[in-house]
Amino acid sequence: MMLAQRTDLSFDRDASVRLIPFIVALMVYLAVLALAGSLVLQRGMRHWGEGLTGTMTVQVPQPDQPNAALQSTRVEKVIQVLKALPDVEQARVIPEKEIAALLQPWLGSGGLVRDLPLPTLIDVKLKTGRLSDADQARQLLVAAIPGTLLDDHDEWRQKLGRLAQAVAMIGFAILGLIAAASVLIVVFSTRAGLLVHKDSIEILHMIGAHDRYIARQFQTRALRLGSYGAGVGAALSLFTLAIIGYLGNGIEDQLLPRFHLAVIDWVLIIAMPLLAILLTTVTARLTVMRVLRQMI
Amino acid sequence: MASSDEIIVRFQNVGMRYGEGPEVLHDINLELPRGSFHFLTGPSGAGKSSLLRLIYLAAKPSRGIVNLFGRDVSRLPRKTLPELRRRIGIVFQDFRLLAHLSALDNVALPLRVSGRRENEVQQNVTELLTWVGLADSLAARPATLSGGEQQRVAIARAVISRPDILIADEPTGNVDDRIAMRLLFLFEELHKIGTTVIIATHNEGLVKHFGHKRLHLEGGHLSVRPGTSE
Repeated sequence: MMLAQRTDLSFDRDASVRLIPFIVALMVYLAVLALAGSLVLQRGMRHWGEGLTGTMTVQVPQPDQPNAALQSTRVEKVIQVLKALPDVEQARVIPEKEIAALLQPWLGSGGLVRDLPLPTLIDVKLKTGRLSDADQARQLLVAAIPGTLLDDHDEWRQKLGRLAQAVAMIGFAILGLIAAASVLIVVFSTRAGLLVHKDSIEILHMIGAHDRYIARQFQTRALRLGSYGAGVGAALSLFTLAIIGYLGNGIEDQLLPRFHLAVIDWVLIIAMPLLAILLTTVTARLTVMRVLRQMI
Repeated sequence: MASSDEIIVRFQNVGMRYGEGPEVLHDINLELPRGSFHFLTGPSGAGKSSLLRLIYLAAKPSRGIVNLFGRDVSRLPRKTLPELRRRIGIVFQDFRLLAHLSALDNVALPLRVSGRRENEVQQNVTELLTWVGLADSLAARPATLSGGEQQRVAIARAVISRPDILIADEPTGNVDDRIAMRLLFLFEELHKIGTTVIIATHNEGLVKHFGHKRLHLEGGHLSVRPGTSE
């Protein structure tokens, strides 16, 4: 078995590598949390965006002199205009109770909501994802009832899309920085190890060892230390995710994305420690080969 | 003069310096036929170890041509050097055994680096260590062995892969005359089976006793002197 391979170099007395498992564990821990955070945020934003797709909101302002009967007529007129649009499947007046519930965190549960001249909101469900001609719809609505506003959520969707892209890029940048830091640490510790074992390496060369024979010993050691560190880092990060998931699922708040990861997300997360092991092993090998090439 | 295909080591106008330092070997011209036995003598600092390092490919000449086994080593790609080194056995003055490995594993190194099967390695190494009287010390680490035992392990490591050239740098420096004589008889045996032997030594008695040709270095200049057997 590769991990149990006999080595000709005395790695036990090599203090330069003792930090590698800790560093790899820390890097895997940070990488998994950064990746999971990025995936949860992206998924949450996608969920929000999907919630906004295929719907739009129409606000019918109150008449200058509040009059419930008149407002009802105005709303009915707007609904007729909406239903006449080819893209509209359903138009529903949002009841005052729902609006009050939405505004409760800001205005409280008193009678303030009823006293304010709040516009009537109409929730419109579209047959397709979006209106084919939003400007024309706006003109028709304003012509029916002046001051009527149509919000097709397009601006929101665009902002969410940009934010999702930014989150993804930041996530990748963090993973890249973690990978670069890991590579540098492995390079420096491997170089230090080569110095420690300089005499033994010279003897191995003199008796006919190829560079790859010597590199294999460093690579095997890096694989063993990297696997240990990656295992610990993965276990700790999964434990942390479990705690976050437990705490996050207890929060009934639509403002926060729900802590949920799909199967493909878990595949990516599980790939992190494996990538860390691969990165550590390959970096150690390439470092050794590069240094040995400079020797006679 | 031996014909070209019999020459196993050839130096042509070889000079050597370490870094930017002064030249330690000057215009060395040398031909060692296959199966020959040479002593390399000279005072300390004359360049004996440097000359041996050139032969066992631990150093490169600053000028001139070093030809080993019919190949100009300065023109060979680096990746081909291990194959040449496997044909050379070296007994270092300070043995240079790997301290954390057992006697068996130290001797097994040349076979393992050349990819020999492990059962073959175990068998050959055990036989050789038994032959040099270390059958009871197969698992012993070098630090637990006496100087003479370490030397036998070092010699066993040098000869385990039946090299074409055996180089020994002051192999008798740390042993008494009786052991030194036994050691030289061992090298004689290897010489008889066709190994080219080069031994750097200060021991004039041994050089005279065995009567082989002598390569003498003085101030980095080489001269070849005939052997004078007692």
